[in-house]
Amino acid sequence: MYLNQYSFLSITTILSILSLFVPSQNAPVKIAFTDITTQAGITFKHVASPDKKYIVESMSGGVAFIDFDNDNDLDVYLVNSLTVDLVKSKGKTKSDLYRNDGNGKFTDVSAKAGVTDIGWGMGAAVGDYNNDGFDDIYVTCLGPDHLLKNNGNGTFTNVTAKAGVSDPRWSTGASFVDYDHDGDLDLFVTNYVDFDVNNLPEFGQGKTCQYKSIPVQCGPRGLKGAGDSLFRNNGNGTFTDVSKQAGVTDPNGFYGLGVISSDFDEDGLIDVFVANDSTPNFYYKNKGNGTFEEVGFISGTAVNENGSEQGSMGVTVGDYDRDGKLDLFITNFADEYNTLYHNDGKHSFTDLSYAAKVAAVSLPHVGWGTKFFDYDNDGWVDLFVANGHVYPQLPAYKQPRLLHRNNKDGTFTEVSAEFGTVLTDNRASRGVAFGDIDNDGDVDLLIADLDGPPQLLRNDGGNGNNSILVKTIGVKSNRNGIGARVTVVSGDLTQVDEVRSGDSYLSQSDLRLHFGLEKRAKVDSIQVRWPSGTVDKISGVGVNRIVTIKEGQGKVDEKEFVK
Amino acid sequence: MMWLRLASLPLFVSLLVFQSQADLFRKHYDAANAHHRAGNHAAAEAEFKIIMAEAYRRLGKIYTAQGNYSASVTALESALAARPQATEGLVDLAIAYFHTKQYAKGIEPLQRAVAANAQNAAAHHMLGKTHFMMGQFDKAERELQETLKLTPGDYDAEYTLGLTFLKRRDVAKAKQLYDGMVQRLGNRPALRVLIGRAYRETGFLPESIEEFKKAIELNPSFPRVHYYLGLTYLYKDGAARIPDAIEEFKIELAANPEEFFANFYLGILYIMERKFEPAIALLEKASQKQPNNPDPYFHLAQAYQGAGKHKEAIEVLEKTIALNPSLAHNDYQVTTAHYRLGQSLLKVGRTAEGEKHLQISADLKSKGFKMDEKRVGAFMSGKDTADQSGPELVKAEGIVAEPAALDPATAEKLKTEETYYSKVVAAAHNSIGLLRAEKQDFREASAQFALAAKWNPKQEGLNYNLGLAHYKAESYKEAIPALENELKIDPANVGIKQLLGLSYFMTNEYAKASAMLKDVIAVKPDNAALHYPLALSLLKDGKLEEANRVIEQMVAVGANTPELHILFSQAHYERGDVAKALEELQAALSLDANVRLAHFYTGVIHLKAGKFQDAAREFEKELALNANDVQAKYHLAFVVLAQQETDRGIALMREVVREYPDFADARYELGKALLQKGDVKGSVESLEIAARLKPEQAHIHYQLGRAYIAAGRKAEGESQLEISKNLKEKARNNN
Repeated sequence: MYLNQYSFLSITTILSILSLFVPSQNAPVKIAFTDITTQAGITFKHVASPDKKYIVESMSGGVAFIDFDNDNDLDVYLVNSLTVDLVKSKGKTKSDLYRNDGNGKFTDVSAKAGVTDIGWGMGAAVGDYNNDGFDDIYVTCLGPDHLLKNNGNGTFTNVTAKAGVSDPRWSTGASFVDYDHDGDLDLFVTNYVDFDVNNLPEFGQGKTCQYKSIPVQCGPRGLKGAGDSLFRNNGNGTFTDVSKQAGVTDPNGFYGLGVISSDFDEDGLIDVFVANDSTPNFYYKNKGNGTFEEVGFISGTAVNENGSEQGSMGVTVGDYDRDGKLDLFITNFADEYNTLYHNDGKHSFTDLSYAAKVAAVSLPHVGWGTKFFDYDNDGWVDLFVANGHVYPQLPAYKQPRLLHRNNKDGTFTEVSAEFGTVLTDNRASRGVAFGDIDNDGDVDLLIADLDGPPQLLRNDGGNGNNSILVKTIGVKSNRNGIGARVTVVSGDLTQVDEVRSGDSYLSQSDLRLHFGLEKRAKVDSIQVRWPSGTVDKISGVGVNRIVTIKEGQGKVDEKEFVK
Repeated sequence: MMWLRLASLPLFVSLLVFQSQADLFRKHYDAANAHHRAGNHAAAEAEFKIIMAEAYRRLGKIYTAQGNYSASVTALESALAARPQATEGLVDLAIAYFHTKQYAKGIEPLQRAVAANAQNAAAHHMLGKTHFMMGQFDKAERELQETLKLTPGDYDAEYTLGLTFLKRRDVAKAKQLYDGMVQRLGNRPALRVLIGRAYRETGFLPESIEEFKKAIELNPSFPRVHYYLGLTYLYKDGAARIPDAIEEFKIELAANPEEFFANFYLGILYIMERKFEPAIALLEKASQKQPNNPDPYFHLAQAYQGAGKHKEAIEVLEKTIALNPSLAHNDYQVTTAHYRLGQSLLKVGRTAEGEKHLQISADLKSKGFKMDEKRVGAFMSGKDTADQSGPELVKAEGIVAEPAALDPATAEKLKTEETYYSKVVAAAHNSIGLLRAEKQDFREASAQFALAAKWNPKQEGLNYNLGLAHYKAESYKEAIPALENELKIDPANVGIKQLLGLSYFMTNEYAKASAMLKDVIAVKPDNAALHYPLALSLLKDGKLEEANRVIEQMVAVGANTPELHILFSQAHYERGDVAKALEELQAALSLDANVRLAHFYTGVIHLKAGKFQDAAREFEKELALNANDVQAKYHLAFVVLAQQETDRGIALMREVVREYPDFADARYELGKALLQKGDVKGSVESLEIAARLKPEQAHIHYQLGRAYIAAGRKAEGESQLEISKNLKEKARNNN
């Protein structure tokens, strides 16, 4: 997030952060996103104070897709927050877990599961940290975080203290990542502001508590920041805080939000990228010896092409130009464009936001949840951005979503208007999870709104083209195969992606990888390079199915989509 | 030593143009002289303070008129310090505080002014404005309403009251007030623009646009109105209104093609449109208009980079960096300029330089972040309200009217008055200094003379008075520059040479001391008190033969002086006869228990013998005789540290470096002690200074290396250890 932080902030700044408006092109609408929240039985309502007098009341809203009961469909976990008034009155809110019944309906199983009372929740990441075959949840919070161990019987146990992963600060992003390649999932946690509910910055007082001369909540610029944490999995259900020796403590206390793990330079070592609000981003290059080197400025990803740090929120990784390298996309604060960093290889990136036509259209919005995903299954990843301002005092507090369709030439066209009000209605959105909830071959969206109900948007018609879903099961590597790099070849179409925990904005998407194939009728090969270094390659796979690949064994299951 | 006389009457009353003040000054001058003659120093000083306070107050007003508000604050605070109970000048002081953004400081004098006279409209008005800037809008409204009761129709107060309503989001009240102003003052474009700016700065952007449009209807070529309208479009709707803003800027530019802002902002907008060539043309023109302004170069570089002209970008980025004095000036621009420069250097293949600038940018951005954190932290903890508080009104037009540009005649008149009142202030300080000197209060006397010298450095005899007062106060280091200045004016003056020579001696500048004292002894050969410092200075300067001759002269003069025994002790010690050296020092002390340096040298002998407690006791005795003896203090600190009394030793060593910042050995010992104590940051800071002062000292580099390593700066630490190793190697080879 970004306030009037620059000392020279004046019209010069305003001008320097604006750019040319690019009108969207028209394209025929063949796909619809249908809001099925109510009919699916999801009644969750996120709680935040209407006035949002304090920054902490504007930042929550993570969501997660998780197949907690191993029935091969995606269940939903929605993180709730609190308000300063509720904290003072010792009030509570409820975070919800909905079981996917497989018939378009979801059942609230929160109470039985024991995942409701998490305090001031922010976001969630999913990973099977103990390799027992059941996915666990890490919930970030203002105050102690929670590691919720999946007991395999529909219930969870809070094992935070025992596991030693209770970051007591204001945690935001989280990503399970096997950074040391020892076969179990470690945990990277970003922290935001050193915030004390009992010593609150006064609303509207001081320069950093005004926006365009209107009194607003204070921060983050000027507030004391909090460093980040890396917990190494000891392999016995406990973790060790290795932030310092790994070199990721963030001694300056930059305002960490989104975090994502990816092997950006394809050297087999998983790197970590942290989107920092109002401060330079961190790009941690994995040195392969248990330590990281922060190379944000040298890599070109710390700031935008103008050298300006941005109010970075959400982050996603994807190969949008199909050159085999995974690019970065960051959502940012209003009047700062969303940034697309093209991966030039060898830890070097170029800001191509304007050239790719994703910058100008984003300027009025504060961007949050985002992901490269192929909504129309044409084999080229598109981009979705959820928006919403942080200051309810502004007329433009609620904002529409952006859907950038990939033009297959290195550029995108913003096409949300083609989908009607479901995308163009103004809302105060935050986290978004992406996944195929009905296993029908196209990607659906779950969007969390601040201070309101979420939206479950079913993709109708995306599966007019063919696709496959790839599920990975690690053996030597971690059970989820998080960090596995999957290459799918179908004729002239080659796509790559990685299994990833934690992305978008404080959210968790489907751990299965989705690849659109347009009208191609078969997949020539699927190659999986596991974090252990093992490579599996299978060939001659049919389309429109979920393919499960187990490390060292190749394909172990195959199910056709339900259409 | 003779002091110069009290300031003469003509100094106070010489300029007839200020006859009324001259009369006032004459009256108080006469009274001061009468009190002085009667031996009533306090009453005499009070009279001079009345003169001084009035002159300071006048100076404050002059500086305000000249727009030099920080000088105005100094002058008006001095006026108040001279006459704390006076109520004149309180509002002026608050205005000066206001202009230097010290809003909270302005409240107290204004409240005093109101307490003295509840009908003081100016005080209520300033209170209203000050509360406004502090964001205390309820209080601001109350004071401004009071002002308008006392002075109905005060345009300035009304305008500020309207802003207060807007700040409280009460747009209806503001509109009503501003409509009333338009009705009363006339529907004029200037007023519409002013009201439009009030709306804009308080975030009421549609209302602001409406006002600017009304101004354009009244006069389409009214200066800057299109510029304001264009900016407000951008402020309100952002990128979507760039085309509209461009149109407005173009109209403004057509009316005034040479105007800096029109070229500058239109250039930036073209960058936003990625039309780099037209942007370059406009920004080149803007940079020619203001060649010392870093801003147009900064944006010009962006345009060059957009057009792929990296060599040109490098050139202007280097200019913008050179012109930007510090992070505090514009942290965004400073940090970002380095980033952009790094990018362009990489593009032209200057990789190492490019990476260096990227790293500088990263470091500066971290520093800027910390500065913000500190600033806001101070604000939130209530320690600093100046920087953060208050609305972001650009100069808050109407809050306090900016002074109109001075016409040459007025400027000249103000300059003459400034010179006159400065001389009066100086004369008053000088007179008070003399009164204090007569009462043996040399510290206050020297402070007064220093102030006199500040205000009128050319006043006759001031250097002498100042030097003598410092000397008498035993502030020898401070005495030297004043005496040196006086000697330049009167090079043959033996008295000044004597004071200066002894001051050099007391500050260990032995070569200078011996040169100066030789001249004095040539004129005063029988003055035994001068032989001792001369002999010792020559000894310290390595001129043994000359020293012996002076000692012989000293003996010939026939004085069994303590100083002579100290000299003999030195000679014994040099020969290795410690017992006799101590005996001579004891003999010196038996003749004069207060003789300087006897305890010090005794302490040094004990120190070298490893008797730290005895040494410390002697150094303490020396300091009791002269608290300013830095060598005694350094040696005391050294032995205290040697006895592992780290906290006390550090405190003493800090006093030494505070007094002598370039004392390398003290810096070294302090750094070493701080490292031992775990204050790694402080240690590094102190040792870095020591290494700069004495780069040839291996032990300093060694200690600095250890400190760096303790600070986690491994590479730098290893580098320092390597330097230390090399220096030791070199020293071994030389030996």
